[in-house]
Amino acid sequence: MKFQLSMTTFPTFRAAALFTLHLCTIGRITSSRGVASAIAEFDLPFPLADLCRRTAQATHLWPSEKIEVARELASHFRDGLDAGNPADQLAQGFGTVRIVARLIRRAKKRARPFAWRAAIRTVQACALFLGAILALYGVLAVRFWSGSPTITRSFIREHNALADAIPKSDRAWPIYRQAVLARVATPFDLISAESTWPNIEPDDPHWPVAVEFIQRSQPSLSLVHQASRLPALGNRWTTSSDIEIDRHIVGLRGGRAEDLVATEDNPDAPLIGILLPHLGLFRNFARELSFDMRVAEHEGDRARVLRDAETLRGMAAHCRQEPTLVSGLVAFAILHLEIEQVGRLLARNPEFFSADDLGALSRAHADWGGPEGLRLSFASESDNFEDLLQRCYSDNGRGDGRLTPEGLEFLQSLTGGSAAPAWLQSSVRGNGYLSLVGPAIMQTIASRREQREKYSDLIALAEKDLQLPAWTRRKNGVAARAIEEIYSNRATRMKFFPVGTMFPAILRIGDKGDAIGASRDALLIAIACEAHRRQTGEYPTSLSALRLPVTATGALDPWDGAPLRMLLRDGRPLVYSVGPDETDNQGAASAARDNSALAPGSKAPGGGQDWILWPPAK
Amino acid sequence: MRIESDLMRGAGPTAVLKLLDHRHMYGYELVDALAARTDGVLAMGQSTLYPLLYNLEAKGFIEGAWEKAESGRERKYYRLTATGRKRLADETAQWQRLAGAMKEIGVLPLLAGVMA
Repeated sequence: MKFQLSMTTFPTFRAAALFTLHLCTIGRITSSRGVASAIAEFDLPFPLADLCRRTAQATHLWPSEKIEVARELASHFRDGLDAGNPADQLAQGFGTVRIVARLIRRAKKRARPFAWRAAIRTVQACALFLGAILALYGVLAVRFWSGSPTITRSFIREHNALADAIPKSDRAWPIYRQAVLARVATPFDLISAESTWPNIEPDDPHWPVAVEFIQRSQPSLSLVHQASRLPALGNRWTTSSDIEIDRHIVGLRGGRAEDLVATEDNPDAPLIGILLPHLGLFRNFARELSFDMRVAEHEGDRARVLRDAETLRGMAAHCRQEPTLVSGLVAFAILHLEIEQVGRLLARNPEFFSADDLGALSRAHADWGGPEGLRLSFASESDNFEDLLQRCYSDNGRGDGRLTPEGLEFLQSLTGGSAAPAWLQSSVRGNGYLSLVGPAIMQTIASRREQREKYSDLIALAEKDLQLPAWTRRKNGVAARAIEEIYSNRATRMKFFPVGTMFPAILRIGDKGDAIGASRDALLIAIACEAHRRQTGEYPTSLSALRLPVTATGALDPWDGAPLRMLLRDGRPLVYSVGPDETDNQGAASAARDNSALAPGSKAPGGGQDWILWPPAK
Repeated sequence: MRIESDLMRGAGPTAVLKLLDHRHMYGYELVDALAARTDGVLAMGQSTLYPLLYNLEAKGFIEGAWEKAESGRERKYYRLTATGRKRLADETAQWQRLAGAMKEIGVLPLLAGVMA
């Protein structure tokens, strides 16, 4: 019924079908008639005529060839009969029709045109090739679909075991958490586009609202002060958010907190899936503390300023403890905010701090971060990669394995943007597609061992690069070039796609450390200058007159390795780096200078300008 | 004595080429001549002859054409081509060398005796 409908519905299809049927039928009928006609010419008795007909038809040759064969066989029998041989004897001596037909067919086909034979050979070669490909694909498909990852380590559980081992009295996170639950809503005026929060000055129209907000925030900030002085952050990693905190924050924003539903934590989930909600919360606290320092300065409350600064450094140190690069970067951001605030205050109000305050600030900044200083480690990133491998690859027990269907889906889930290879981009995603190409991808992508070795090699290079002085690393660092090599070639980019995806932007991490180190050293110089002025009655004219605390960065310019520059301008010290052009422009800066624009990692040419480190821009 | 098919496969085409070297012949005539002139040793039926002829034709050693016989009936006659003639010369030389070798080791006289 369906067929009839389609035949009548689509006239073109119907015509084509009928034409094909016509060709097939007419061809066979024509061939059959031609053979019969050719045999009839020789007036053979039925058994011989039938033998000729059946043999000719059994050859399955072209119609003209069949007629030729039939005619020649019939002619042969006619000659035999004419020579006096009985028909049944001739028929008996003929042999088996099927075998004769096959031999004739084989011989006749050899006589066909070269183009026809070439076409047949080509089709046969293609079929053979396709068959080989299909066979290979079949083998790969079995290998691919029979593989499954084996999760042997839970990095989340391992981290939480370490967190649980910290004495409860030393853990800061529970108090930070209380501080979050004690937070009050940030006024809309402060988070609107017009606001410069938290860099609001007393002459700013938002100042009264901000002051009122920061006064209401004191109970929360008091808890932050308390937490920041404890030795360990001590937070557990989870894959579910803290429902109590979420409800409190949503409630502060006027949302329906009761609509939020708690999700279940999965400590065996991928390491990459952990939530680090405290990082965002820390940044909020850091902004509030930063403004609190301004209010305290305005009110002449030195102790409050120092307490806020210490709290910021403590929060930064807590972030620094956490073994993830992103936590380290947040630590740098909070520390940078504190350095800016202290430096700004010192520039604007040199008499604000006592001599003891200056000494304490100098020591605190020089010692921040302990022996590791401002250098981040890649150890946690290696854990992340190892976790990725165990979730993507099978494990043969000897450190190697192949990509699995689950692994391919996991890799796909990591690729949100166009940076991923075409085979994983959203336009071609879908389970059907992955099922089809999975075996081929498994064969193309590097094995578990190769991925690990490549990653380890790159991490070793990156760690080595990080040991280089900043000004040398940019020129002689090899890790970035090794990564670029992977990305410069489509084949290697695909082969080591997991490495490329998971490998941190190493140069940027080094640059961040360089930038914060230079800012810290500049603040130490500014503090030393102020101490010098109080002792001698005037600012020093050069760094050699100062006694600076020892730091890992050694107060050296990250752009050229020479000591940071200092000169007196308008009777006040100016501390600067030569910037990207590596030329001492005597502290020249554009009117709208932005300190970060010429920091290490910046792509600004910085021609004719220096990177001004102190005093900070207003 | 019946000749092994392997031997026949090598000897048949040479025998047919040799018969056609003298004059053009049709299928039945070739069967008849092979049987008569080799005392049945190289006798072959239609099932062997025609595939053999078509193979030789495909290789360009012989060519066939329908011609009217004296009886007025058409027959397909085969004749040797220039390529076929060269091929026959090559194969003849090879058979002579083979026969010489067989003679040297005492095979040929015995075989010739049986055939006789």
